[in-house]
Amino acid sequence: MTSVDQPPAFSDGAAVIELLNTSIGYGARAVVDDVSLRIDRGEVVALVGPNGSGKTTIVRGLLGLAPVVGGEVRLFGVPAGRFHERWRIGYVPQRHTVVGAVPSTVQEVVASGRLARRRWWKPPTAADRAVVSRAIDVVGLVDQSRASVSTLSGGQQRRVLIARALAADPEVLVMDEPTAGVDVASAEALTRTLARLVEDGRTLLIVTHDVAPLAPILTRVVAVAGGSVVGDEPARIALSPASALAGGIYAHPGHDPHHLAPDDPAGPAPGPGWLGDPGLRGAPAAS
Amino acid sequence: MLQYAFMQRALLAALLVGLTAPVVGVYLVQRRLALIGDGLGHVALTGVALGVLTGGAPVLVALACSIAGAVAIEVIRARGKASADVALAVMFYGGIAGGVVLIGLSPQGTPANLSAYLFGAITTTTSGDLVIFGLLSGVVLAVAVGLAPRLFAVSNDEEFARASGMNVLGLNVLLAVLTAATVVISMRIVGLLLISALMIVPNAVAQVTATSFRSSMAVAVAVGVTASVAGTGLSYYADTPSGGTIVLLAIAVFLVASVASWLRSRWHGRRHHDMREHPHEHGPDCGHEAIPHGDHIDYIHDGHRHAAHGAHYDDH
Repeated sequence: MTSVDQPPAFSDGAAVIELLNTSIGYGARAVVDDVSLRIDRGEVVALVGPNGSGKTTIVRGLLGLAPVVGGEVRLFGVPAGRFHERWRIGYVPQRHTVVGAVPSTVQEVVASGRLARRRWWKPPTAADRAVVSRAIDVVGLVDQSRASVSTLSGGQQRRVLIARALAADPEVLVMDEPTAGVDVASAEALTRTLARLVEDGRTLLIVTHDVAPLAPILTRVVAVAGGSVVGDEPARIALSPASALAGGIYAHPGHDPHHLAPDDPAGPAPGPGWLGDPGLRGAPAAS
Repeated sequence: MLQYAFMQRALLAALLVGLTAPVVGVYLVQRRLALIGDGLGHVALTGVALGVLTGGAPVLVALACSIAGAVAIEVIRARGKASADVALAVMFYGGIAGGVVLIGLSPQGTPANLSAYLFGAITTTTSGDLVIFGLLSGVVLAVAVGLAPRLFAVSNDEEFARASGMNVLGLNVLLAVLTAATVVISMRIVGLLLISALMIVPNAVAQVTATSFRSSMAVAVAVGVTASVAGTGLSYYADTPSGGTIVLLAIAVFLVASVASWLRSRWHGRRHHDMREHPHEHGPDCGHEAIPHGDHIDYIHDGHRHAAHGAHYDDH
């Protein structure tokens, strides 16, 4: 297990997220107990574990959405309570659809992600608009940018939420179950989108129960069970069938256990076949 | 009717209501808090009654009461206790019960008087009221439109707004205060029991006709202004309470728009498959027979030729 004072070899050593003996919970009940975890710049970390293991709570705690009842959370080296640049951490919530009862376009929803970087009364600058357009471009929704989000498919709405997070130009992207309920082609298309973000030098923390579609980009896998970290390995080890952690991961399969085996011939692997799926065709940005 | 000063004041007040109520209402609908305006109307009744009883300005006392109520609502909601729902209900009942009792106690407290406060009347707007309504409308519109992106973001997804570091509680309290001010602007013409109808119904029309937040707001304001000015005029000729007349007009517009939108989608539906009903994305490897068709490719699907068009497929 990677401990706080022992950063993994593949990062440049700059901690972006640190949990120091952190407990997170509601009221007296800590869902996550005494967890220590350090994520460095440039890492692509999967947080895996069965339902109810506390992986979403860990993420909510470090985003300030769930109360930290013990220990400490540090973001970019600053205690979370004194960290005022929340936009540096983009958040893609676990949600199948974009919320809101009033019709709104892709452009409007994505632009709302930019606000954290804007002054209260100032109209958006050309630079703001450019970042929003780029975010829509990266997720391949340029053709739909003026469409009402309620007319989009579930996978497309998921991409709207990713673009909204990207509109703040965050250094870290925290995603909660981005591939849940998405078909295999869309999950792989998403991985390609994420690969571009990694190339841009962003750090990713991805809560998932399904590591297979993300395997090409992951650098590290952290397993959570019962509110504690039970395993932490570099991805190349964690994703090999011989891994001790693999036993931990595969003992708690998601909806699709077949999909969890990275060496499964039916599963995705990097290469021309993987890049050639039709999921994002028609999206110039993703080609 | 325009030769009467009271009608001039009533129509001006109606115009202000028609402009402001839908602009504030769009955020309430977005947050799925359509009924909060109702509750604030109830709380404002106690304020009005206090004003009547003490001989002070009912409008100003109502403003103070509903702003206090609005802030209390947001604080109760933000604490997120399971009992918040019941706490709010108790507050709203208290507001209307207190108002009815206080008006009953006051010397000018006639049933006609009470009914004018509850359901609106065209003869009650004074020039003093109009000045206050004008100022309030100016402030409400400036804030609701000027801060539209931020209010949209927090109404659209409160959790995301919090995670990205926005001042969510501040914005929620601000929206509640805007709602409270709108309640007061509406109290003469629309009446305290029907206030939230003019915040919500025009936005219901927008929900079935518009595709963007911006156009929703425009549609809602157009419906709001039309219903409130026309309803006020109609109530002069038909001798009906203005609030009820305005709201019935707005609902009529909503029904017409809903039927029209349903007919359109039915007509469209045969040639038009929404991605939600049709999540499959056609592509070269999807197994459906592909037929080049001009600048795009149709895919044979259950006997239809599907052509991607934005977020849906058209039958060609």
